[in-house]
Amino acid sequence: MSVLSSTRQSSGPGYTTLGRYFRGVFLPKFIRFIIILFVGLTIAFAVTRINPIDPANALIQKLTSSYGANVLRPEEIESFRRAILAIFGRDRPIWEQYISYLVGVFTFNFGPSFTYFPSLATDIISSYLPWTVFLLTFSTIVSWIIGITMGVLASIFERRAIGKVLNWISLVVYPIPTTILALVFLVLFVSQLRAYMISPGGGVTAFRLDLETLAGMFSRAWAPALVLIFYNTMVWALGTKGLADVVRSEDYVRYAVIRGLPLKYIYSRYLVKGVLPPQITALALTLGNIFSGAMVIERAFSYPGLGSLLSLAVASNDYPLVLGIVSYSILGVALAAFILDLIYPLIDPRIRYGAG
Amino acid sequence: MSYILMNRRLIGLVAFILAMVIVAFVGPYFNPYKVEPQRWNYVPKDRPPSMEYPFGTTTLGQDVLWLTIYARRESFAMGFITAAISIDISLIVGSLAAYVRSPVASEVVASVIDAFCVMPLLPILITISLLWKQQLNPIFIGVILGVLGWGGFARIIRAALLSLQERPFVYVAKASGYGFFDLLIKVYTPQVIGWLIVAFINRIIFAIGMEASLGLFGLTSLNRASIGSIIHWSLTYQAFLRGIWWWYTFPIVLVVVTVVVLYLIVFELQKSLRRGVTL
Repeated sequence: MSVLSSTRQSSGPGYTTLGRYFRGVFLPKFIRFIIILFVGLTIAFAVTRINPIDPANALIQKLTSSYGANVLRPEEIESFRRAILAIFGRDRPIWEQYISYLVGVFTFNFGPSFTYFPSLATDIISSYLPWTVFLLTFSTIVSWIIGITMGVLASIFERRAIGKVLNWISLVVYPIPTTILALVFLVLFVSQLRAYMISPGGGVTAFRLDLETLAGMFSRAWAPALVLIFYNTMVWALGTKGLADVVRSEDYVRYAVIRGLPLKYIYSRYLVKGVLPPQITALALTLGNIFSGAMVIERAFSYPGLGSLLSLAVASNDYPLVLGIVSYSILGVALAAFILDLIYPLIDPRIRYGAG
Repeated sequence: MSYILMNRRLIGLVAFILAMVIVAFVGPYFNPYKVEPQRWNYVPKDRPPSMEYPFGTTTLGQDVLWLTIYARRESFAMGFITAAISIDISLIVGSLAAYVRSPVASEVVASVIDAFCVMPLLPILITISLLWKQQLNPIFIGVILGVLGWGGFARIIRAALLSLQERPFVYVAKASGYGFFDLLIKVYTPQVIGWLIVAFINRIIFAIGMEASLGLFGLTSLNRASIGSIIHWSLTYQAFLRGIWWWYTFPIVLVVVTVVVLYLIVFELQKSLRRGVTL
């Protein structure tokens, strides 16, 4: 609503603004969202179909021959078989399998998990999901704000020691793989400082919106969050420094300096405003990377998020769970990018007024 | 070219990387053990760094020095494969997005590029590695990374070429009957050759990082010497808690040095490209 009300005063009657927003921003961005989702889910689907081994047969054999026949009741085995065939079923034509996969994604149904039978894969994912969302949202917002501030400062104080130090730190940290960074911090926090306790596997409490749960979440999340914030801050700082340098050399900024505007005013109104729109776009585009990085860090710190769950699922060849995690990762990231696209006009007036 | 030769820092960095590549590819011929270093129990276990074993030995009875040298070779080989494949795809798809005239088709190609930028690659990569667990080797991982990781650079190519579309020489080329592939090779590529080098190095950094992440999930070529498998085995044998720091420290430090130096090269090149210096 705020997008619309803020534009209303300056661009004529309300319905035109709404219509313009719908046609100019919402519709194209929605189509883009659908295409992104479609491409991602198609790859996830294709990958599970063109693999050399047949996971369905392998799994049914393993289940029925080894321990399955003694531990599981026949109807459970039958339900397994149906679940596996539904996910990996090659008896039906490929397009039919594809449709049923897409239906599965949007009806939140991937059948039962192999490891946590008879729990549904979706239920397990949804008990881990709040942890990841909590960690990711918090650390992404914090590091985006700090990183942009740092980058702008590094650009303003380019010739001073502080600017140079900031620039060099970000330059060195930026290319280091998240895995390596996570391991370095893991050694530091766990075996050197003994400040963070690793509780391998499990330890997932159901998410409730009360103080105790949140406190528990925070005691688990601070170390992975710190690593994520540190790394992403450096990434944003480096990008922002480059952008701010470009903006500073623009004619209109030079003109503002010559005109004698206070430097403080130039920095806040010219520099930051020039840096924000491209950095929103960059945030939308790198969401997938940020998510992948978070998964790695969660796994390294045994933080009970999707990364650790994926690691558990991989260790036990739990295909429905893996496929579910992948599909929801794609869905979540595409959705977040879509939301960012929708609020982008708030930041960039050129888009808001349909120019440029 | 002359700009590169003038930039002393750039020469130093490139020489350093070349030296590392040479050590990684020539080093294995001087392996004193007659077995590949990822085999188990050919040296005593858990020895700290000494004159005999400069980087120490692992709990599995491996010499960390030779493990690291072999792992560097795998990293570079995989990085080259990834870079070569993803750069080609980026170039073709990016120029296609700039080339097509119809606005709808152009938007669709642009959205597909965006999809490859936005997609979380790691979970997809993990799924692939899980399903092809038996066949995992650096070449396979390199190819997969190349096929999946081309989105970001294709976006840059598209933007760069879109601004070229209105330039006279592109019109002339099109008017004289150049098809898409003629344009791609003779007109587009020379314009973005500097960015190709930058992206090539960037993709090597990306591949090294992704392989390490796969190792963390236990899904890399575990029976070979690679940075991912070193991470996997040292985690499995809890080297972190047992104080066997040399197992992971030396390989990790070398990886960090490699990627940082590679990135500094990229940074220097980018600076000159932004200034409009052609390579």
